[in-house]
Amino acid sequence: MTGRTVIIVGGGWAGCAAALSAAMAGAETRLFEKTDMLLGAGLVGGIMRNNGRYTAAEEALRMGGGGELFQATDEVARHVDVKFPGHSHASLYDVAKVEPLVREHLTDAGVDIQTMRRIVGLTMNEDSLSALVDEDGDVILGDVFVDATGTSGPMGACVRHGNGCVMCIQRCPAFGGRVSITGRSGVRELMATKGPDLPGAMSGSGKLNRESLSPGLIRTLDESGVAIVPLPEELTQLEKLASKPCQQYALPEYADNIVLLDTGHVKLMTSYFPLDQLRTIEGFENARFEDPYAGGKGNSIRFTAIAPRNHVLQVNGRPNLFCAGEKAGVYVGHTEAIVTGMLAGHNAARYLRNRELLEMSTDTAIGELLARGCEALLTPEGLAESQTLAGSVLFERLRKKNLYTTDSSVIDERIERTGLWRKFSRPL
Amino acid sequence: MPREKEIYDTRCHDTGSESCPCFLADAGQCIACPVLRGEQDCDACAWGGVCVYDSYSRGDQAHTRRYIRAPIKSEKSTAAGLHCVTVHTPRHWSAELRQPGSFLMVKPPGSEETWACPMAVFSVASSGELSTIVYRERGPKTQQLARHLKTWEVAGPYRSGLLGVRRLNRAVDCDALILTSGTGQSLLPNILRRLNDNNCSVQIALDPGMDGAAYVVQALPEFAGSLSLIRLDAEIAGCRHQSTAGIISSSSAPLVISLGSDHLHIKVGAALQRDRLWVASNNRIMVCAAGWCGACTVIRRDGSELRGCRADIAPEDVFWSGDWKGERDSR
Repeated sequence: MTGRTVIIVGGGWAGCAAALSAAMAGAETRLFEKTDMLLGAGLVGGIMRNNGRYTAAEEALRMGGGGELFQATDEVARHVDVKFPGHSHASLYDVAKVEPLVREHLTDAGVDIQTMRRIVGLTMNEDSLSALVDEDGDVILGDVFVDATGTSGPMGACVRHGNGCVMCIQRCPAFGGRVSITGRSGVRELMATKGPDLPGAMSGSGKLNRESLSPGLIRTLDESGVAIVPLPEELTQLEKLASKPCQQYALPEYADNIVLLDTGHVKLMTSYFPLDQLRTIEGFENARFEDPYAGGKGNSIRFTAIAPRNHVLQVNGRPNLFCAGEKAGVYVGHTEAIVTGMLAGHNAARYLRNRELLEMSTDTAIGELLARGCEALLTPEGLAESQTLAGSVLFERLRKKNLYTTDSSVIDERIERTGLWRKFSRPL
Repeated sequence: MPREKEIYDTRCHDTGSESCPCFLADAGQCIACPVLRGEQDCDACAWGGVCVYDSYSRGDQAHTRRYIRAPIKSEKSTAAGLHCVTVHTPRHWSAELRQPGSFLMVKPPGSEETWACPMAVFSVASSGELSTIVYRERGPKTQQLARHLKTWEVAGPYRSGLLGVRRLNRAVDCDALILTSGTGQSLLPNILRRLNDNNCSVQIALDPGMDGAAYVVQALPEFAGSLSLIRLDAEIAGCRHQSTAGIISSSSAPLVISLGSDHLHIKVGAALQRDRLWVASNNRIMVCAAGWCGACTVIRRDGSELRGCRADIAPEDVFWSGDWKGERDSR
């Protein structure tokens, strides 16, 4: 290789955004993904622009770089301006259409995408990484690296902290478990907690097969994108709220009802639901899970391997290693992954060019997310608090600082004022 | 994308097999699973297609291979102490015994396991029920075997007979150079079958060893054109003398396979450049071949220890004290 390369490991939303951002900044960029598809959990996700995520998406679109990924999710939205308990103006992208579109964006930007290449090791030169090693033993040279490997799984973590492997979209048995670049480089990683007996957290939603639901439910979902079905008292699920990482959905409405969203699959807004119980409810008599396949038993475990890092997303003690997505904090959501990826990829390119690393202004919703996520890593209380633009503590903070808005002109002015207009789409 | 270099990550040959999880998991020394070794997380998992921790925590029993009686069908001996023995083995072992690096543990009937010897399988009959072993009578163990020519006890199949075996299995459409001496040639048939299946061209330098028996030649007439009889690093009547380093430097084959003593491996390692892939016969002393006796222990460059009977490791992880210049590797 040329010796001026940004290597990104992990092809989820964060890795894709980092790749796009680094490539648009002018760096030769290679993206390594262990499975056969990009987007990771984004393949079964779909909720965008709800609450503060709307503001962040609009900010990112104005900044450029990986922000263009919001155009892709808008382009394949099945429903826009959706309201569901605690959330406004959401859009729901079609999980069946988004991956090829993102792949096209990355290819057009010149990113070298390597799927089915699982990185399992690395070599170091003092404190810096010098190369990665894939499962076949091939050595991949690079100058700067982005760890976007996420925090879900691998199987051992799901066994220890959850209900075992539930065959989620990560498909560890087929493609191998997640390997953390940060961890392999010798950095001690952090684990989010939900209390002394609850390390990590279980993914907060599963997906049902559309065709397995009643015509009435499908019609409601087609028309509005949302269906809310009250639960019989004996099936309410308050105790499950405690283990959810998605605190924006840890509301009583989600315990008292089944909340469904139409993302192509039918998103079931609870970590898991025993199938025999689910099938006792009208409309769900034939229900079956689409993701995870064993969604009646549990869900994937996340946040067991977060990188300690600074405000520019540089991993502590590793000057040429950046992190993004769940790796960079207790971040929940696709929007959060994309915006952290944007900065990580951009700063990786800056590191290559010996340019000062960019710290995002906290006069933006994205900057606030990044700053708060970094501070939270420093205390046990912070590690017990998930960071999302869509609800909970951070959304309240955005409101208090008047950073949450859907007004285009306000966002225009903010991005101009902070000097971030098209900042990520220009070559350095 | 061109291969820049290669590093061989350590795995366990038995992950996901009928012998997994083994009692190394009980002992906190599982080769594959860092959690079972007492580490905090899964990060250093030597993934082999299954989660050993999952199997272990479900209470899957630790399995060890058991010795079974193996009646001997035929036996031929030479005056120089070379024995060719064909024994009955279970048909369901045959596919594994045809893999490069497969071997059996063999002992006299009724004896303690301390009398067991690892033996490469030279060939498996098409019926799948007869395995041929060629061995030289040397110490007390092989002498005991030579005295029991009606029935042996065998256990297996074992998979760790070659260091760096994944390099061999992955080699497609490439040239391979094989240096073999003595009974190291017993490993050749399975290796040559794999290379042939993968459309690799082969050059074989065969040193017949102490008694001058190139017994593999008769068994593999189709490879006669690729094979030259030589004497490595010494003079012997009827053979050309060539130096190991000379053979290696005169070949450009990217895959180099050494089948012989550790003495041969050390010379091969010293002559190889880092851009060539090396596979070598595993000569670790094995008694239990299950990981508990420790006779096969390999001490790696970083001081860590591995059980050579189970670990899938590269030759340079074993022969690192010579001139072999390995890279620093975090794994």
